[in-house]
Order: sequence, then structure tokens, then C-alpha cells
Amino acid sequence: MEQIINAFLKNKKFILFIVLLFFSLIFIRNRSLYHQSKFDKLATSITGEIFNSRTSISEYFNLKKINDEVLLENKNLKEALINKNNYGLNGESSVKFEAFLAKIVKNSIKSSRNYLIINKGKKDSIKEEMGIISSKGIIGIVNSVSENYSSVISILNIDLQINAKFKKNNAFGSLNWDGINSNKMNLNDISIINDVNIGDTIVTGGMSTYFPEGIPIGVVSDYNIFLDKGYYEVKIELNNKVGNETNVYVLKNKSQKEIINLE
Amino acid sequence: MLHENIRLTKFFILGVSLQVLVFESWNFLGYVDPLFYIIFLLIYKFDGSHIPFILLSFSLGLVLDLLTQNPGSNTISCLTIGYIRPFLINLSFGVNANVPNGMISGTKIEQRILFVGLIILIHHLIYFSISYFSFLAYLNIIKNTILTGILTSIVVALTFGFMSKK
Repeated sequence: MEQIINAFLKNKKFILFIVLLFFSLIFIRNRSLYHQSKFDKLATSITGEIFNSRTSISEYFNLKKINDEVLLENKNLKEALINKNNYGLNGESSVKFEAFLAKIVKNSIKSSRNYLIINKGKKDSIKEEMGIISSKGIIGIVNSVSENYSSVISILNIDLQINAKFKKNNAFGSLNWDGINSNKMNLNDISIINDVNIGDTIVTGGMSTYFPEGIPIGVVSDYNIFLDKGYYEVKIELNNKVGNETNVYVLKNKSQKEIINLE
Repeated sequence: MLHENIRLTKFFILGVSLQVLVFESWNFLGYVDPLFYIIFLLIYKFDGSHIPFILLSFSLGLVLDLLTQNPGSNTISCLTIGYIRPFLINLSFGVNANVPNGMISGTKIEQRILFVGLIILIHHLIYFSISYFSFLAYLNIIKNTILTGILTSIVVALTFGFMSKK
């Protein structure tokens, strides 16, 4: 208290000046409409700036929540997009694939047989042989499931073969990784009767139960023709960088069991 | 002390009356009026108490604003000069700053000119900045500060010349 009084006495001239200045500003504001409008404008801009900064700060702290909301919305949109061409017998759209949100918690692209782990497991209705996609492309297939986590065979695994096709003419083949470049894959068994150009879009074929038809995978970056064997060997540049992905969708094919039983 | 108070009261009343009755309607070059009352801010004793001076400066500005229908530019400019005057004295007179009534006698002419010039410049700059109250009017503010400043300096110099002869 004594210190406050001392500080007050020490700066009494300045305090007096500020008090009188404040009084003068009130005086000026009340006497002149022009000054009043200027003061109001200043006050509005200051208040605006303060609220703007406050909103920016609170937005920053809400980013995780907003991110989760956006992911959820994306999941729903993705699900709608995947199922848009599936119609039931009565002409009503039927949901064939269901999507679940997941995060990659461990990822690897260094080995020739890469696996990754996602933070959803049995508890979240994840089962083996479900397909995993990201917003840009495909990631892999669920290999084994624990209570809270799942192990996924990455598409960057030389043992995995995925059914894929050309978007423009539906010529399909089998996609696999050669174990060298994590951005490139090979599409084999494309018959030479098809026309292949660099830049052609490759999408999932829909012949397997893992992925629905039409999920984008990448574009043709190079190709060789083997006339004696009758097929192309096509190099694909992937849309997504599997090593950099974090948020993924796990796809559940509702007809998977039925199809497997038939096979 | 009593003599000093009478002198201050005299200059206060003289400054306000001459400003309101004479200089406010000069309209030199059509729009320039000298701010004569600034003489009160110059003649106050150098070693006089600061707090009463701040209050007196504020009152001077307030009375002038009320009498001349000004929104408040006189009040703020006088109050600011009242507060910063000791710094300006130190800046202008240096070692002579503590000489009582140093303004009138015992100091170099350049120091007096610097002191008067600084007070007039700062006062006028604040006065016109508050009057226009807009960054866009900076050219008008500078022009008016210079023209009115010159006119005020002439009027103040003539008054000081008249006072010293007397």
C-alpha cells in the first residue's frame, strides 16, 4: 500500500496530466460532432481489432475441435461419394461401404514390406481385410486387429496386389510395389489392345472387396510395351505420399462376408 | 510571491481577453489568427511550482475553448505544454535552466529563441492536429502550424520588446 502511495506521489504530475487530458478528451468529444464521430470510429476499430485477436486466439485453441469436425464431415462426404452409385432393388440408394475415421500412429516406408498402425481396433468395429484410404488415395489393408489398434499392410509392400484400372477406358490390371520408390508403383497385366498415355488417371477397380470402385490412386508416369507377351508394364505416380499421411478412413464393405462365401 | 501572483493573473486575463477580443478575428491572409495567449505559458517563472502550472495551463485552454467555441484544441495543447515545459526549459537553457525568471534576463538570445520557438511549434502542432483530427489533413496541419506560428512569434516578440522597454 505504501509503495502504491509512493509511486502515486512520485508520478503525481504525470497522473495529473493524464487525468486532465482524459477530461479534455471527454470535453472535446462532447462539444464537437466531428470529433465525436472520429472518436467513435477509433473506438470501433480498436474494439474490432481486440475482438478479432480474441477470435484468432480462441480459433487457434479450437483448431483440434474444428479439425475433428472437418474430419467427421469429410468422412460422411467420403461415404456418400463412395456409395453414390449403389442403388438397391427399389431404386433407393443403399450404403455398401461404411467409413470410420482413424489416425496413423506408426508408419514406415523404409522396408520392402511396410506395415503401419492405426489408432482404431476391435473396439471401434475394425476387422481384418478392411481397406484404408486417405483423402488423396489408398493406404493399405487391415492385417490384424487388437482391442484398440490395428496393423495395416501398406500399399508399399511388395507382397500386396491391388486391383486397379484406367479411369478413361476401364482397362484393369494389378497394382503392386517394386520396393524401390515410395511414390511409384507398377500396374501390370494391362492388355496391349488398350490405349495408354502418360498422365492417364488410375483408380481402384472395384473387383476386390477391400476398396470400392473409383478411388483415385495416381497417374501414369511411364510405360513399356511387351509385344511378345501382349501387355504393358505401366509405372504409376501415386497421388498421395503414404509416408506423410496422418488421417485415414477405414472402409467396411457390408457385403464382404457374402462375397467371400460365394467365392 | 504576491507580486508574482498578481503578475500571473494579469497575464492570464490579458492573454484571454486579447485573444478573444482582438486576435481571434484578425484573419490575417484570410484565415490566420495568432495565438497570443501562449505568452502566459512563456512568462511563468522557471522555478515556479509545476503542479499549479499544469492546472493553470489547463484552465487557460479550457476558458479559451469555452469563449471561442473551440471544441477543445486549446485545452489539450495548453495542458501538454504545461506538462512538458520543464523538459523544454532544460533542453533550451541547459545550465541556466534554474535561473529564476531566466527568460527575461541573464540568458543568451539563441536560448530564448529556441525556447519560445519550441513552445510555439509544439503548441501549434498539437492545436491544429486536434482541430483537424485526421491524418489526411497533414498538409493543412503543417501549413497552419507554420503560418500561425510565424504570426504568433511576431506578436510575442513585439510584446516582449514592449515589456522590456517599459
